[in-house]
Amino acid sequence: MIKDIIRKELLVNIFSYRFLIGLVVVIVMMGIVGYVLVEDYVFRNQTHISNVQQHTDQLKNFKVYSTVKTVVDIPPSPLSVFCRGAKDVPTSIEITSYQIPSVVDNQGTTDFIGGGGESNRPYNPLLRIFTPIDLAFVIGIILSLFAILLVFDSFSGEREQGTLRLMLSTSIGRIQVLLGKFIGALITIAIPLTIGFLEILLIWNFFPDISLSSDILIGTILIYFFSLVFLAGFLALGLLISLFTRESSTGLMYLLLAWVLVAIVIPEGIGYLAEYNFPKESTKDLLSTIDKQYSEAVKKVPQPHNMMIWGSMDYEGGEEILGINPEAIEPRVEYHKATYSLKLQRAEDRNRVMENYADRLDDWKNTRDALLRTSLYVMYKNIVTAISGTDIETYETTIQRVKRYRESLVEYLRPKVASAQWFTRVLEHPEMLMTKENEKKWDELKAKEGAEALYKIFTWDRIPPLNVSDMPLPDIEFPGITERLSSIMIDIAILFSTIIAFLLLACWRAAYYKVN
Amino acid sequence: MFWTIIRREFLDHVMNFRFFAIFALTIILMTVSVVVFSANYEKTMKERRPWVTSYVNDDGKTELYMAPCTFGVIGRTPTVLSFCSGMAEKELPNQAGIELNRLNSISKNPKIGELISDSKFLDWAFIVSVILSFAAGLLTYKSVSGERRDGTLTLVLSNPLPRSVLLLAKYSAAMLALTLALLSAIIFSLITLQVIGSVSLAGDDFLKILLFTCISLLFLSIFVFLGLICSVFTQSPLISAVTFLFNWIILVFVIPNMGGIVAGMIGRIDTPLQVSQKTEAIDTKYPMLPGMTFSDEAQVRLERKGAQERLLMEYIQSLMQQVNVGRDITRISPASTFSYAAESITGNGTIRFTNYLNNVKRYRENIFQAVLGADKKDTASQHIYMPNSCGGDNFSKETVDLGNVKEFQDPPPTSKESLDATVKDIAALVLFNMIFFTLAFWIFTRMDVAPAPGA
Repeated sequence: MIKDIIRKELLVNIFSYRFLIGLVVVIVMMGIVGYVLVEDYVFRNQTHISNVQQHTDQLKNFKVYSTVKTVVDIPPSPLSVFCRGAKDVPTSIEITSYQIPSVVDNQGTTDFIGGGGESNRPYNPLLRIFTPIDLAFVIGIILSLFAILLVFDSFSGEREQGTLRLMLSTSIGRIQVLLGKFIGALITIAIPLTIGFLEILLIWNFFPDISLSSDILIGTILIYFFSLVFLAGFLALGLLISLFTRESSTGLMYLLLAWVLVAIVIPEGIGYLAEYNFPKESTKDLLSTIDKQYSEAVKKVPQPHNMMIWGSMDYEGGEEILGINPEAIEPRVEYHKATYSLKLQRAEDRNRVMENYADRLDDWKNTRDALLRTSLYVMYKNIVTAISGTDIETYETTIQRVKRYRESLVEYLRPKVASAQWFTRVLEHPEMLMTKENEKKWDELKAKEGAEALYKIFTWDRIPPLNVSDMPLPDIEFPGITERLSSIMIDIAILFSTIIAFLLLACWRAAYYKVN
Repeated sequence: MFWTIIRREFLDHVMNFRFFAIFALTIILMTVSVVVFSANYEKTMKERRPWVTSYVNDDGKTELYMAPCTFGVIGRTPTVLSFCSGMAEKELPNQAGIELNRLNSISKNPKIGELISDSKFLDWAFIVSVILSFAAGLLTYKSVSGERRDGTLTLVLSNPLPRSVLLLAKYSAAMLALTLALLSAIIFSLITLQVIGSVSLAGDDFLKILLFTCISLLFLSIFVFLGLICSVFTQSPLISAVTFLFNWIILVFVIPNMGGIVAGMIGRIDTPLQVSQKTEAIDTKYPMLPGMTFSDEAQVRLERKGAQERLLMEYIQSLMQQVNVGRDITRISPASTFSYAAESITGNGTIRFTNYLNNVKRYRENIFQAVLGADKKDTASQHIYMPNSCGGDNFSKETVDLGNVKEFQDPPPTSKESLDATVKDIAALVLFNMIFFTLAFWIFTRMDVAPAPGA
């Protein structure tokens, strides 16, 4: 019997005016937004691949140990089409022994010239003033409104028309009617949703760059499932309110108010209100104190002679020296040994300050998120963002792993500081040693062939790269889908319990509903 | 009769729960907007570092020899009226890097920890365009279709009352209710703002808020008409509600948010690769020839810098152009037109950004000319300004006072300027009103007022 009700509801819904409009709007939106976002992903992925290539080449090209740095490139998520997620998340993390990456780092400025690198795809950061939309928005805002419109009159409307009495005069139980209506509406709403998801699969097919791995498919299925669960929440709420109101137009009004509250007021209002309490940034003074302490400590270390070197290049902490007097090597090694540990100490100190601030930010975020969880839409968005892997937690986990990797890199580099290879390769190329004999030779060469001839001797190009094959590589494992899911268990739990609560309440109310 | 209907309808609206809900929501949201803004504004202004060039010493005098190699960053601060329409402010570039002889970069510098806080800027324009336009629908969707269903419409029209007057009365009543909600919310939040006291508004600002209120009402009137059209056009209040909602969601959410996507597809801008090629081409255009004198070399370097600045400005112009294409297309929705109008009337967003860029450029030019002028007076100098190189006999070594030139001024546009910039959008809003009014009127005068069978 419940099957009959489901069939009837389904047919009534499908042939209704509201279903038609909703279907068209959703299909068009999903198609356009999906295409634009998939194209965007493909481009970001290409950039990622070329970055990885570039950074891998870099690994083969270190001339001295002090300038060794590695880069972790975070691949874009193909599921970002569903949710763009956190804005401005860096795509590469640079790892050196001199600095520890942090989530709260100032992510650097977006420059208008050179901001898009050398890419041949137009890049206009000003377009960000238009609110970017993604599929979570289409489903969360538009389809949820559509869900409300499907069910707002399911009881009150039938009561007004008198058909409810008729239906209940048969042998069907009230709960069965309720469930029938619920399932019928759920199937109806699943139609545009399914078409939308098929559209995305189709768009993915158009782009040969995208290989549909099992991770992507599982992610898509999960997002589909949770979208359906989220919409079921709105359907349950709609049925509930329809049972509580005598007139369908009043029911509609309450539902719309509830929708405005859930979809707009709570996410925007509470999100913005929380800004009031945003932890004041306190890192600046602390960091400059650390820097001051560091430079004072460095001053105490006996300074090596700078007069006895040639062609020195200073990188943020590292040093490359082409030619050096043999007597100057030993003191310089000692100097680097002393300062390297100071530099590591500074990195640790700075990290502590950043972590401290990050913790405060985390506390703030947790409170805000707890408040925001009063909205079904926010919970849905949290879930989709996490499954898409575009959430800030995924980035935080990645940063934690990068930090662990950095420790192994430092372990690898630490013993190297005791050798001259830390800053020069002159010992393997004695023709660049600034000895008396060599200098005499250079003077002769200069007199004979001009100053230019010296550049042929003093060049990094002649020096083969270091053999760093035993160096630990940044083989970071990015959080997989199961791991990402575990961070949103609470959202999933609340989402399900809300829906169950709505349905139970609706069942209870249906049992006592006055049909005339 | 007209007044009786207005009074009846108005009281009907005001006594209703939905009005109370909208009223409360508007007041709460607008106050939240103001409170959070003033707290953040205070913080921003406190952290703002005044632009002090490295060549200005403690007495405020300028050491001329330092000028050619000075770099600096000028930050853009939010206006006091950002709470009205500051949504775009957060995304637009907020600093410009300058050398004395060129503007060298325009960038967006995020605040530390911004990655964690990703909330949208909640401004009044957003509240009006989403919450109150929605309210306009809630108040009107039943007004004709409901009366028709209940049969009271025939009753009302049996009076010696033209249909147009009835429609106008219903419109006025809904507008009155919305005005009541909007004005109370604005007044309440302005009082809150004054009580907090960290943001002080001047007379001109109040004028701008008044203009903002007028534009908001003009905008809301469109949605009241839309609600009436839906109500007149459909058989039952439910269908009219559904029709209104679909129109509303398309006008308020879909079209405005598609702007970025459409602009990205249609607008043409140079790719970063092309820009960097153009930058390289500048060096070839102004070549450094062997055997050049020092002063010739300085001249070539200055010309290169000038060309680089022009390229940067042109590029920014083209980016703005693309944004404007997006905006022009989204103007088919009154909600977009309203938010752009609100932005320019309160002097925020793109108008503010363009002004800021011009001010930075003017400031740089003035200070550059002042430095050159001061150098001219020094007989010991060779009057050769060599970019990015300090010291040497080529430029004056004196310390002078440049006066007011060194203060960077970036005032918000005056209310007259903002009004001038908004005329187009206001005209569009009026046009929308007229179209929607005509439609509502035309349909209503031709409709069958008898209750539809079965409705």
